[in-house]
Amino acid sequence: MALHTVDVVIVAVYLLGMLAVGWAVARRIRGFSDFFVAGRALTTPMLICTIVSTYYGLDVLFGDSGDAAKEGVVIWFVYTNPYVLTLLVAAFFVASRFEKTDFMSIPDVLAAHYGSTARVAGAAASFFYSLPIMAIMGMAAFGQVLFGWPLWVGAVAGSVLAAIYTVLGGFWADVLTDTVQFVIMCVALAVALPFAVHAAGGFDQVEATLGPKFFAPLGTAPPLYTAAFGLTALSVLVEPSFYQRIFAARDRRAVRNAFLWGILVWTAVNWAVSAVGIAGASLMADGTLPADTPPDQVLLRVVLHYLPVGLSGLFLGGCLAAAMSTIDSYLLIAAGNVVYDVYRPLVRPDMDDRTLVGYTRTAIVGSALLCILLGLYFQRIKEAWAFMATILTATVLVPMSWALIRHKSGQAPRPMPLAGALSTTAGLLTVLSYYTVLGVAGTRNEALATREITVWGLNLLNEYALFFALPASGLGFVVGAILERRR
Amino acid sequence: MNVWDLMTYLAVAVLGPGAVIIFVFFLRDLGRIVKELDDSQPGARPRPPPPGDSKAGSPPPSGGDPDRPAQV
Repeated sequence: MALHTVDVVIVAVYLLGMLAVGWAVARRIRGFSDFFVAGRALTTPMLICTIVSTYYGLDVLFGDSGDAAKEGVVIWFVYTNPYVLTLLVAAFFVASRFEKTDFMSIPDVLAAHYGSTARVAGAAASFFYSLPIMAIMGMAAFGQVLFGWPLWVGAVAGSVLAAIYTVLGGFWADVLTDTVQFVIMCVALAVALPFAVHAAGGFDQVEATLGPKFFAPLGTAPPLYTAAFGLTALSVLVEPSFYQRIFAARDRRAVRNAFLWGILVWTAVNWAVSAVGIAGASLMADGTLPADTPPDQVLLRVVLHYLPVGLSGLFLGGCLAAAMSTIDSYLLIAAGNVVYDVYRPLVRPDMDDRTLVGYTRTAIVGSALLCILLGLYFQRIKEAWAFMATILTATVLVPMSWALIRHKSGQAPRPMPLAGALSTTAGLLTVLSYYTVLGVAGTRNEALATREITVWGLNLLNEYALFFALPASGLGFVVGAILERRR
Repeated sequence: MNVWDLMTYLAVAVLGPGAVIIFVFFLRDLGRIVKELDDSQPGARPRPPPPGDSKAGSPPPSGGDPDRPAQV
């Protein structure tokens, strides 16, 4: 696609601005608390911006709009709204549990309740979940579609830029750039949405072109598949970026209010990308856009086709913002998993602040390199992410849930190392076994873009792994707790 | 106007003016935090911390059991 000079300048100014923020913040870093959790000083508006923009990246912009272009409003009603329920739980229950603690990560919480084994298992699951492979490959695809770059160029450019200001300024740099990215992303969508709907002739015309099935709230997928997808919303309760922001909040009211306002913004973003995707489907059906437009390019092509110069540059900036706000935060979390959660407690428990910050900076660079390599290796990024998200949820959800229930500020919890070890191990091994069996003995289901196998008359898909892994993790926890009581 | 149009108008209102309002409040809070940090620098006139700010800039726990972070 050809870009106007004005659009390129807007994008360039945005990228340089991000680097300037990192440089400006670097000199204010006084210790690891500043570097990793912004000195625990974040207020509600800051938290709203960083929580929303971190959690939503190109996978939402391009992925959800592409899915909506194929399936319609069901994407908003069934595949994104279940997350609202778990976010409400996070707002009212999770946020309040950790006020006045010095936790900095999920593995910290696991270690306090279950000891080293749970810490390491949780750190490993969080590390592989947090590697922002999808966002970096989104940048790669972005560069390929817009500039004709080879995939590796976009991947390297995106990760290097985000890594630079994150290495310099840590979490404060992430928060400040996330805020700029939040505004750009939201305003860009607010501008693009009415343009796209108008270009398609309005929703009445779209329904006449595509048919009523596009506006059926529950869609046509099998109910069990829909339920399994809804189960992925549980990952919110163990989302590493949320916990980092909970620990970075000034007080529990700030983070609770941030989640509540964030739910409103997320819901609006979900509708915006879904509606643009549906409008794009209508434009493809009536021949305005090429009928063979790949689903994850629908949003970009609709916007670039209809937005005037300047506004299209703003939207491109919004896309970059969506990717980089995800990349910077998750690179920092992944680096923290390696250095703060595993290396420091197991190898150098007396590590001083300055060394901790230095090692974490090095780990940020290492994580970025690993992301680029893994991203260029995996063919289907979305399936790789789904696997890692399942690993995280299966490993950590049960022990973290019990820790949330038990945790009382100011009181040291009674350790349950065997329960934590058995729970994390059982969940992890169940997921690995399930995926291995489907990978080896299953067949490809192209319609649902997954693998399946029929066992005893039951048709099992990859997405059903949690139906087995969570009970296994729960069983491991109960067995471990009973054995500990008997000691 | 149908329900999809209404949802679209609401989404535009939240993502447009709503995001800008949040940004304005962000700038207000950022200004306060920067002022607090500047006032806490060596040589600055000491100011009492505002309520609920006791954890700003606190260092991580060092020494002791690394698997049991200190709790306030």
